[in-house]
Amino acid sequence: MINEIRSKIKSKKASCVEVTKEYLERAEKLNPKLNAYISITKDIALKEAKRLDQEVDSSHDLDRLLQTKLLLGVPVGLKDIYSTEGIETTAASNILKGYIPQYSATVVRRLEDAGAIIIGKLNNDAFAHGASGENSDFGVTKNPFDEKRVAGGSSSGAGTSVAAEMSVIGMGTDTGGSVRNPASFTNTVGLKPTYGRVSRYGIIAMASSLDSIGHITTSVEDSAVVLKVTAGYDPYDATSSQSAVLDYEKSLTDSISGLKIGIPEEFMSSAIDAEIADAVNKSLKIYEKLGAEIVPIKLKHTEYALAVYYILMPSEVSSNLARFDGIRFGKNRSEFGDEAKRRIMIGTYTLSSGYYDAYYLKAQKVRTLIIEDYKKAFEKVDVIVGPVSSVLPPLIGENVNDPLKMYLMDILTVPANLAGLPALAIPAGFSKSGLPIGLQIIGKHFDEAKLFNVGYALEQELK
Amino acid sequence: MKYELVLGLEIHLQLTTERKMFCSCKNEPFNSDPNINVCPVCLGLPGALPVLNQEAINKAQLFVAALKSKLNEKIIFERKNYFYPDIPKGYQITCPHYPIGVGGSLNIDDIEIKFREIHLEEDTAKSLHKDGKTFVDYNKSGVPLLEIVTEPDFKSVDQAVKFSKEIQLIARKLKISDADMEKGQMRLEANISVRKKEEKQLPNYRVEIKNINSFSFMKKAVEYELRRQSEALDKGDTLQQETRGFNEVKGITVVQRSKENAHDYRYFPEPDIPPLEFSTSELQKITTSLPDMPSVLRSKLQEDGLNLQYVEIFIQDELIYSKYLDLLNLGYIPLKAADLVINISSYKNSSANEIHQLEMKKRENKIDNSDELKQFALKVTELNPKAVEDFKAGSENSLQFLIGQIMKETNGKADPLLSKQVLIDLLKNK
Repeated sequence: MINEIRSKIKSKKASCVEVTKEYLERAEKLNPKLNAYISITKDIALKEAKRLDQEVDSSHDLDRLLQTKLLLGVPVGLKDIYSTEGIETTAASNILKGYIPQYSATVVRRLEDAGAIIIGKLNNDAFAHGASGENSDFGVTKNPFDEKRVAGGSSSGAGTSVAAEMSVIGMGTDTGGSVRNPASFTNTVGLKPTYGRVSRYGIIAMASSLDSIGHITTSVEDSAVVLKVTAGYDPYDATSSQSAVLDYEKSLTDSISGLKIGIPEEFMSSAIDAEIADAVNKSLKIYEKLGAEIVPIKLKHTEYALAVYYILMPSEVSSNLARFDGIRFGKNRSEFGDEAKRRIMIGTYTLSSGYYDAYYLKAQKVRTLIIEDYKKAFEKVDVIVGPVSSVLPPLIGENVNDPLKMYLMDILTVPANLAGLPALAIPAGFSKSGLPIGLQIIGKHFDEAKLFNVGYALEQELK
Repeated sequence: MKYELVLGLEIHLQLTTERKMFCSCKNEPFNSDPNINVCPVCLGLPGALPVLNQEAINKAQLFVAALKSKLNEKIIFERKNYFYPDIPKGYQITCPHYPIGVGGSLNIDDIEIKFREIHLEEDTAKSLHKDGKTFVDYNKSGVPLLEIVTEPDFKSVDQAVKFSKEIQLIARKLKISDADMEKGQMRLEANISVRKKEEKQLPNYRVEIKNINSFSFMKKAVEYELRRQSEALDKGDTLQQETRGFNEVKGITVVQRSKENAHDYRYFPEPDIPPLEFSTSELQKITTSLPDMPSVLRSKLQEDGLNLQYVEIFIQDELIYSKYLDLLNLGYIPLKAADLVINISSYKNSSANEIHQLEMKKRENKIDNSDELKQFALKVTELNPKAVEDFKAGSENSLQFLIGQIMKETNGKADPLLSKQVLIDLLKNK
C-alpha cells in the first residue's frame, strides 16, 4: 500500500491532499460504526498534506524527496497513548480526557519527518490494559469482519482502522501481545519489534521493561518500510538500541530454502482452537514446500510465562500509573477504570515488603529461565512459529466479567515480550465462519529482517 | 547520665552538575524564576523517560573515592514509590541497594565514623505554601542529590557537627557540591536513639529527624532528643520508631510520621535505566585522579610549622591557600608567606606577584641604619614618657607600642627588628 501511494505521488497521479482526503472520508464514514478512532484530526491532517504537496511541487528532485521521506503522503493513525504535541491524548481513559501534551513522542516526530500524515488518534484498551478493546472508556472497537465481535487489543483501533482502510498504518504498542493480537483478529500484519529497537519516549508507559513500539499494516512490505522509519537509537530513551537499522525491504524476497522453523509443542496444545491449529499446520506445509525445515522444539517454561507476566506487568503498571495523581494534568484518580485499578492493586501487592521476594523477585527469576529457553532454541532454529491467539475473535461482552479468561488471550504472545524478542503476526487464513486467523513468527534479537523475509514468503503463497 | 547517645547521620548534597540528573535541563534551582528549568522528564509528564547524566555519576564516584569508600562495580537504579505533591512521577529514582560506594570511614577526633553507603538520587520539586494554597516549583525536581549514610558511630553531637563540616569541606574541595546549607544544597538527617551506658546492642527503635538545615539546629535537635528519650526511658516508656521534625522556633522536635504510618516504598529496579557496570581499571582511574584531602593537607601544613588557626584558614579558603603556595614558589618561608596572605589586610585583593612586588619595594626603602633609627627612637621616647615608664616596670607591650610609633614616624620603612634593638639599647641607658 505504501509503495502504491508513493508511486502515485511520484507520477503525480495523486496528491498528498487527495490521498489524505480519501482516507479521512472513509475514516469519518466508518468510525461511527467501527469506533476505531477516538479523535480524527482532519484539519491538522489536511494542512500537513497541503504543506507536503507544496514541497512536492517545488521539488527539483522528487526521487530524492521520496528517498528521504519514505512515508510521503501516507495516512497514519496513532494509538491514543502516543503523546502528540497540541493534540489531545487520552490513553482511552477518562482520567486523561482533555490532556493535551506539550511534546510529541520520538516515533511521532520520526513519522512526521518521513512525510506521514497523522489523521487521528486510535482507540485502545485504556492504558493498553486488555486484549479485546473492551476496556476503553470511549467504547469498544468493532471487528470489521463481524461487528458483533471484538477487534482484539489493546491496539484495537490500529487493527480495525488498517483492516477497514481507515488508515494505511496503525501505530500501536505491544506489551504482552497488544499489536499481534488485534492484527490476528483483523487479518492484518502486526509487528512487535525487539525491545529497544524503537524508542519508547513520549509513549505513555504501561510496563516499561516489556513495552515495545510496533505497528499494524496490510502487508509485510509495508511493515518493513515503517520499521525503517521508526527504528533506531534515541538519546531520550536509555533502553533504545544503538544497533544499526537495516534496509528491511531488501531481504523480503530472499529464498527461505534451508531455513529452520521451530515449532514449540507448548504452542500447539489441545487448548488451541482446532481451526487455528489447522491454519497453522497448513502454513507449515507451505513453508516445507518452499524448502524450509520444520523442527519440533521445546520451550519448557512456557506454562509459567503468563503467571510471570501477570506479576511483573502489574508491578510496573502500579508504579507507572502513580503520576496520574490529578495534580497537574488529567482528572481525579477515581476516573481510573476497573482494569487499571485491578492492576494497580495487584502490582502494589506484589511489590510490597514481605511479598516482593515471593512474587516480583521469583517472577524475575522465571523470566530469566524463559529467556534461556529461547536462547537455547535459537541455537537450533532460525525462527519460531505458532499461532498468535488460541481463540478466534470473541463476541463483544463474552469475557468482560471474567478477567482471567481475558488474561488467557495473551498466553502465546507474552513470551516474546518477556524475552524481548521480535515477533510478527501475519494473516494465515480464515475460519469457516469467516473470522481471521493469525500466524506468529518469533525471531532472534534484532533479527526483524528474517521475520519479514519469512512472513513475506507465506503472504505471497496465500495471495 | 546513665544513657548514652546512639547517633548516625544521613547527609544530602546537591551536586554541581551543569544539567539535571535525568534530563538536559539546567541544574539551577536558585536565581531562576519558578518552573523555568523544566521539561517533560523532570515534570514527570506521561511518556517521558529518564536518561542518566554521566557527569552526576562521575562526581559521585569522585567523592566516594575521596572518602576511601569502596566504589561499586555495579550500580542499579531503583524506583522508590511514594506519593507526595513534589514527587512528579509518584516515585523517586535512587540506588540505595546497589549504591555508588559502600563502606569506608572518616576519623573525627580519633573516632572512626564508618560509612554504610553512599548513593545518588534525584531531588524532589519544591512546595511553597502561600495563602492557603500549595505551589510547586519544579526547578529543583531532578537535581542530582548525593546521600551519605553513616553507621551510628557518633559519641556526641559535636562529633556529628565536626563530621558534617568535614564532609562539606571535602565536597567543596572536590568541587562536586557548593554544600551551602542555607540554600539547601546540604541537608542533614539525624538518626537518634539512646541506650544504657553498659549496653552494647543497638536499641530496637530509632528516631529520624529530617531536613535539618543548619549545624546549630542539628545540635539543638539532637540534644533535645537525647533529653526527651532519656526522660521517657526513665519513666519506663517504650520508645517508637518514628520520624520527627525540628521546630526551630520552639526548639523542640515533633512527630511527623509514626511507625504505623511508615511508607512501604515498594523498591524495584528502574526498568528505564539499564544497570551500570564498571571495570576494575575504570574504578582505579577515578582513585588516581584525586586531589589531596583536607586531612592530608592539614598535616602537611602543620609540618610547615603553621599554627592550627592558619591551617584551618588555608583549608577553608582555596584562594588564600593558592596565594600562599604562590608565595612559597617565590621563595618565601611558610610562616612569612602565611603572615602576608592572612594578616596584612592591604594585601587582601592582591595577587601573590603583587604582594611580592610591594614587599620588594618596602625592602628597597628600608631604614636599616642604627644611627638613623636612633634619631627616631629618641623622638618617640620623648613623646611617650608613660610608655618609657611602663617599659622600665617590665611591660613588653610598651616596647611593641614604641616600635609601632617608630614605624608610624617612618611610614613603615623602619626595620622592625633593628628598631627594637635600638630602642632597648636606648631605654637601658636612660
